[in-house]
Amino acid sequence: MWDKKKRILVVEDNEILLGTMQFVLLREGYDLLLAKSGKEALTLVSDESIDLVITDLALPFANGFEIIDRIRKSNTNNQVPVIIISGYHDDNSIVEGFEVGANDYMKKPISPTELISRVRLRIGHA
Amino acid sequence: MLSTLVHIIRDIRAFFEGDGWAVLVTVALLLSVLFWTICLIGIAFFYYRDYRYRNVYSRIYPALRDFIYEQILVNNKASHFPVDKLGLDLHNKLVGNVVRHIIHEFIFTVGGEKGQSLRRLFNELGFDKEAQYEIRHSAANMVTTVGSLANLALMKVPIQEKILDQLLKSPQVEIRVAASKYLLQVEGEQAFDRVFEGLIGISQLQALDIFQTVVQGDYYGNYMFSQWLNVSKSFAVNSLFMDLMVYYQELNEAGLWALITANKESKTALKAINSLGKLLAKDSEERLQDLYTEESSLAAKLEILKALGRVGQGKSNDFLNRLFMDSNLPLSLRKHAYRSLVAQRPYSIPLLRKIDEQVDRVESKLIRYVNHPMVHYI
Amino acid sequence: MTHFISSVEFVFGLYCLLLLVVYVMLFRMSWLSIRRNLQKHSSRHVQTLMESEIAPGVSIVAPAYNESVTIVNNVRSLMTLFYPRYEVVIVNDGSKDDTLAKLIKEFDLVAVDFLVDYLVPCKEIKAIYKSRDISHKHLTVVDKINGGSKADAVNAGINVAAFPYILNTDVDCVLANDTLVYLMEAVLDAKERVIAVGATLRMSNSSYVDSGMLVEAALPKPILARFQEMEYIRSYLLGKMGWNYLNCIPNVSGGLGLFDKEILIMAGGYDPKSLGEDMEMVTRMCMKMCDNNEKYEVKYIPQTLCWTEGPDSLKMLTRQRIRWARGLMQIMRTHRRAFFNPSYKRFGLVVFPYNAIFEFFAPVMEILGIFFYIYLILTNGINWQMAILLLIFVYAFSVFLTSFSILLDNYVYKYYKRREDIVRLCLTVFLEPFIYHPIIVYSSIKGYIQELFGKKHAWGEMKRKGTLTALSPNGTKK
Repeated sequence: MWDKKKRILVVEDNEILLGTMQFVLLREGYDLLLAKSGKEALTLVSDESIDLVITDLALPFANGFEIIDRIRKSNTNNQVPVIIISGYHDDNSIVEGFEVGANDYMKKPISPTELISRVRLRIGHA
Repeated sequence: MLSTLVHIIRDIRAFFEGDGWAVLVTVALLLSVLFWTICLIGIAFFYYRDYRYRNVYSRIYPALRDFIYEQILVNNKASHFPVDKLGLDLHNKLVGNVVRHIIHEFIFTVGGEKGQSLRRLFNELGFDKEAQYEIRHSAANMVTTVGSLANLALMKVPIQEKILDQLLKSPQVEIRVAASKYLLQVEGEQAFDRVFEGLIGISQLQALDIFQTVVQGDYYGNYMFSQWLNVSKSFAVNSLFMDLMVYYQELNEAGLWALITANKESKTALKAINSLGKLLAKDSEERLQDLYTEESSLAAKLEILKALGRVGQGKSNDFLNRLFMDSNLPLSLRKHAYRSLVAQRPYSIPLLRKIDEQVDRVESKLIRYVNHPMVHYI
Repeated sequence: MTHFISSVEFVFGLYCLLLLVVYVMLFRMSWLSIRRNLQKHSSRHVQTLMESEIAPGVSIVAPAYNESVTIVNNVRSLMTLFYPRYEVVIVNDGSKDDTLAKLIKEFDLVAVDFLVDYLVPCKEIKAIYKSRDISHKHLTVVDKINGGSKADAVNAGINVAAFPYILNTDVDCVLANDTLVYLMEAVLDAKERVIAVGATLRMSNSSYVDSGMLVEAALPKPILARFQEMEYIRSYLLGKMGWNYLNCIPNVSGGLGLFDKEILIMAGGYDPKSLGEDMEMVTRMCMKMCDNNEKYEVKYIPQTLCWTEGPDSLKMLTRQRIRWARGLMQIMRTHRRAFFNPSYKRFGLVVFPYNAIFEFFAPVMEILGIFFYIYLILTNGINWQMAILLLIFVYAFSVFLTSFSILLDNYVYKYYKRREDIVRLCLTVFLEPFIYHPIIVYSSIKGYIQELFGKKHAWGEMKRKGTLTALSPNGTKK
């Protein structure tokens, strides 16, 4: 049996960052789900099985904190590791991010190489 | 005086009754129509400008994006990019703007080594020379100069000392701030003295911007920011240095107290009290209590209570307890007195227990409110 | 008799001439202040405030009365604004429907023990709710006894708010994501203390709104809403931005305004008895600052940050405007001591007199003017050639000014993505003086008369059609 590809949900409303993350993660061989708004993300979180979530905080419809909270309270994906990627550089946002259950916090701008190694740390190679 | 007024009125009336009236209105009418036409042309122009920008953007973006992916993310190139392959006519002003915009977006979202490569690509496309040219030749155009300075800072391109000096002394504060930010980004700590000396007339937003520039640089030393506190300077300037002191935990009680005593009741004083708390100025506890008794404004009293809570040495426990139990005080003061007591644990634990035993209904409600895990701001 | 007639003519002539001068000044000043704003804005990195660790906090206060249809989405959209430090305070003003129940269910709210200082007067606060979800910890819902006015509800929100700045909005308003960033930039980038900031409002009637978020702005299709959109563009971009140049803004609209909380409280909060509570509040704040001899600024920014559902029936519109007219009259009466009072500086010498003479008196002068015309026609004392020439000029001038406002709007940002929308708006300009303007004048006069003869104001409940959610979820427009 071949292992199923690891699947990552990327939630980001910035076109350029989303595109870049999509490009590097696909190249690493991960399977991707993309969401540009909190609303899309909330549906995906409850409907799909996911191995890792990368999410922005400032998002339309529902912010990153709520998405993470929903993930932790969901039935299927509550153990999924979550990496926050955010433009908020203040301590409060970071603390709050970990409070709702994130596993990692990266400040924008994001280094793609660093992102990949953090993803690998959480879920291993694709 | 009165007769001249009567004359004027009579003259105006004569004019109104004569033929000049009709001529005047006709001219005004024609002018209105003319201006209306100009407005329509203007609206069409703005519409067209936007349309063209979007057009060029949607043409260039995919090509440039793929180029960046291929060269920087796949080939790991860090310099000597084959920019000719892009086939962009950068002399075209619009194309230049679009390319600059796109690469900026990339630089602001993609960091690390790849971010460095992006900056170099920006250079190799010739934007450094362009920006150099702009700061020399469009000193009057604030937007261009500021933009160019930001670009040069991003790429860490050196600027001639003479020009930089001119920019730092520019009559336009936006340009001075941009030049300061350039210096901070390119020279880091070495630029501190020079930049801080020349901070005059900045707004709070600009102070915030400079703060951000300093803390986002890689500076972790022990520079004395407090040397720049100055009672005669504006709130924005003093506030910047207080923020920096708090960020780098540099405590200078004398400097802060000088601000407080010189500007009683002002925003500067409030911020100085706040900073004392955040910097854990433990020698200031008694002085803060004294200040509380002499200060009259509620805002200042609140700041003092918060600061006492932060300093948290237990020395002000009795003082805070007295305030909390005083039912004549505004609730906000009592709430903060209690929260500050809570913040002084473990020193205040016996006192808190005692309070729990003897309080009445109102106070216990107050306590429950302040301690409620879901209430974050009181 | 001829002496009388020429005197009256002179008064009208002078009035119109002054009005013309004011408009020409506004034309120039609005252009300058918008250009200045755009230059400043493009010269800074938009992210600065957004990423800042030391940005001052803002409390968003939004009263809700019987908003069951839209409440959840609208609160959600307020909770997702982009800003590092803010809280949302929703004031349920004794709604008779299930507004509160819906909020409790959606955000998992529980009542907490509370104690509130009534710093500004309001009806009793019954309960304060907070969310059990950590992700909604910035939400506070205040349940209070109905106070009969928006002012009372906002005051309750002010009493509960924790941060030094208050953003006052309506739950039915749709805000742009970066509203707080733009408004706080205006506050922080000023020379003097900014006590209030506003931004452009326009109609959401035909825009595509999904779950309380604006997806695409469009020109309202119903003609009445379209007239209002045009009126708003003119009043904000030409009027407010023009006065912004002189720091002489008379009013920050109740739909979207950011205030310095300390001054709000010092001035005594909103007046529940006022029918124009937003303007009355700004008036009182300005006067208070003058009384205390402190320098201040009231600012406006040209960007559209708020979309609101305008009244779409004639009845609703006239009712709204009657209320505004009465509110204006109340302010003129209560604060008349500011009129040409040099101790109120620019407020007493420019803002207030302008309001009194050109805003408050304009409809009266118009009606009187028409009567005078009729009188002249009846007595055959009219110079027809001249009269018609004048009329054409006034018409052309008003068309020009409104078109100029549209130009300004397009200069700031291209809000309508479709070309037809701009063309249609430019054509609507021609109809306005004949159709819309008479309605407004009629309502104002009616309002003045009601106020003079002390008729009690019937608040009337604006029926929300729930346009904001009535759109199908797959993205097609209504």
